[in-house]
Amino acid sequence: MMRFKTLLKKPAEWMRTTGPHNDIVITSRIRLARNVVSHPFPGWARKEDRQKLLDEVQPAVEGLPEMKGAFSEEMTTLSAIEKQVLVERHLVSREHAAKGPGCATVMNRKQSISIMINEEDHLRMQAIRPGLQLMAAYQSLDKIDTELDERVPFAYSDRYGYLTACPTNLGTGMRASAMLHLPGLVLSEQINGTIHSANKIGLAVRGLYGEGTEALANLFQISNQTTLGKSEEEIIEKLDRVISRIVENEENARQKLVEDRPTMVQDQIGRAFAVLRYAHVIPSKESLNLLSMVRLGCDLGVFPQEERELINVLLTEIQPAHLQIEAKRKLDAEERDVLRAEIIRKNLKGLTEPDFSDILNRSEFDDE
Amino acid sequence: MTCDLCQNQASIHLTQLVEGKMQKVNLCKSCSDEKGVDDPTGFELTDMLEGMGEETVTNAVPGETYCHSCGFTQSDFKKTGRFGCASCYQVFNDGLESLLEAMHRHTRHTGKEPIHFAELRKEIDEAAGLAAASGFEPELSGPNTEIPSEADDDDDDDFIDEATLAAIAELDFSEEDDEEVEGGDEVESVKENPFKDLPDLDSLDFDEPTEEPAELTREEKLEELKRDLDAAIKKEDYEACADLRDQINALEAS
Repeated sequence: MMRFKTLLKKPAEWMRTTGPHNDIVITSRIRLARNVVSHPFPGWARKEDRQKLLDEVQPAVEGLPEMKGAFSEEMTTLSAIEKQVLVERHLVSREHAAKGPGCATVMNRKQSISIMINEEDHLRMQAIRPGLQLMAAYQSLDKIDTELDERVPFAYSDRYGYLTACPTNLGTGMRASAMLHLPGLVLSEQINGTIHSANKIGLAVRGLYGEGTEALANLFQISNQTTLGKSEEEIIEKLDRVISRIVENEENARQKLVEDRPTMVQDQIGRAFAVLRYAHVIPSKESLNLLSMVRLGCDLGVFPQEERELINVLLTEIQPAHLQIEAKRKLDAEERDVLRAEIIRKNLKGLTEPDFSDILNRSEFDDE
Repeated sequence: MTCDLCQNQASIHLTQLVEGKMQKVNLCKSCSDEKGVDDPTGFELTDMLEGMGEETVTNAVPGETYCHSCGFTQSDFKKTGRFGCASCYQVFNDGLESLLEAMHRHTRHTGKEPIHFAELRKEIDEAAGLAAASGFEPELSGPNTEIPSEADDDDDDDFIDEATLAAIAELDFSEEDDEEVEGGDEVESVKENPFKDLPDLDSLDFDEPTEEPAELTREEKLEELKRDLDAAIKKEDYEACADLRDQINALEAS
């Protein structure tokens, strides 16, 4: 079994590899909710019930071929900061991190599959991939779901499909979502229209850490809202089409910004780089928003494209729990802001000086 | 399905009928041998279950619908917007359709199904085909087996009304539902958790197909099997369906 320390040392696979449309689509995620017959749902179950379910299900999950050498821990064995690290890496939900006895998390070595036991449902399984790869992510999770189905009897009705604690997840139990980086739509003030249109066709748009969180770093999660009445493939295809359209809109918005307001774009990117490169105290929110601008710089040729990976890693590593693991002690907010600035300075040191010639070429080309 | 006593794979499924209510127990071979369940006259189900079962704890006020498996009440649902266990979906089925319609714009699942479920469905479809060919028509379009029509399928009509989530809070299960739940529906809810309020054992039936009395004619027998099949389908008891299908086939062939 993998220890927490080992898990920490390696960034998740999705951070180090790329996928289709990776400049705009950071990750694709699929989540499946499953429950086991004859056990009350976790939210209603007593502590003993939850423990019984865990004792039955955890070995089955650990026994999956994909989970060879996996990380598998009961949530009570992890410190508050360790749990928060898992949340910051999107490996467990905030709700799950707050849970008491009888709850566990199992994840593979690549951190591409994580399975929460006794979250809102008995099983919440997640697959995460870089770029726009919803169907590939689903297929990898579908395989695991089928393997588990042979070991654990799932609660299922012919009429309603997979039975979930909350009727909003009934049917497929599937939530497909993509994390999009949309600075172009934000800067050109088209983002509210985009969110509104997505909502209108039954899709949810949320901030960086899910429900009720603020849109930091120009990052938005878009996901299906309904789970009943359509097949998994239909839901994914529809979401895929909508995301492809948003990606197109974002590309157009960036192009138009470069053509119409090149100075503003250069200023935003240059300023962000300058502050990140030399600041000694920097709050989380400010750094996330500035890193977003540097990432945009990578996409527009101001910085080398391959530096996007560095930004992906930084977006995670500068968050509060990661900082405190790095410092090996509890830090107050001010101490965190200092350490954060230090880590960012160190990491951006190797970055080449911003080169704005691409932006200028693109805008001048348009003028002719 | 695991054994109710030791968590091994269950291979013996017992059903007892008490005051018109069905209760089920699942056992593995070794536990059933140990308890001597193959000798119904000497076997006391109540003794075996003593100390294992626990009373359903519920906050239900008198007359309020509650789930006999987990004790969940309709006011619990109003409070949390979540159910207590899988059986709650049967207990609180009335009113659920309109909620799902508002929430998902659909009320029937069309996606993936568990492997064993897909296999049984295939068998039942085959049985239906055979039965139809033999001249009588089992009603496979019962409420629990209906294959959803795609007539209302429209990619762009999925959006959720803002008021939907508020509707969860306001959802009410009408009072007359209580009676229904006390009757047929309860059988289903008890099925998954048989150790509640165990009354004296009046009769013990094995889930195996029973021999038909010889005095029934072939047609009467078919008639009866057809009725049983309908009932089994309504209860989504696909094991029973498969058994009945086999019996119908055998009879057709004779």
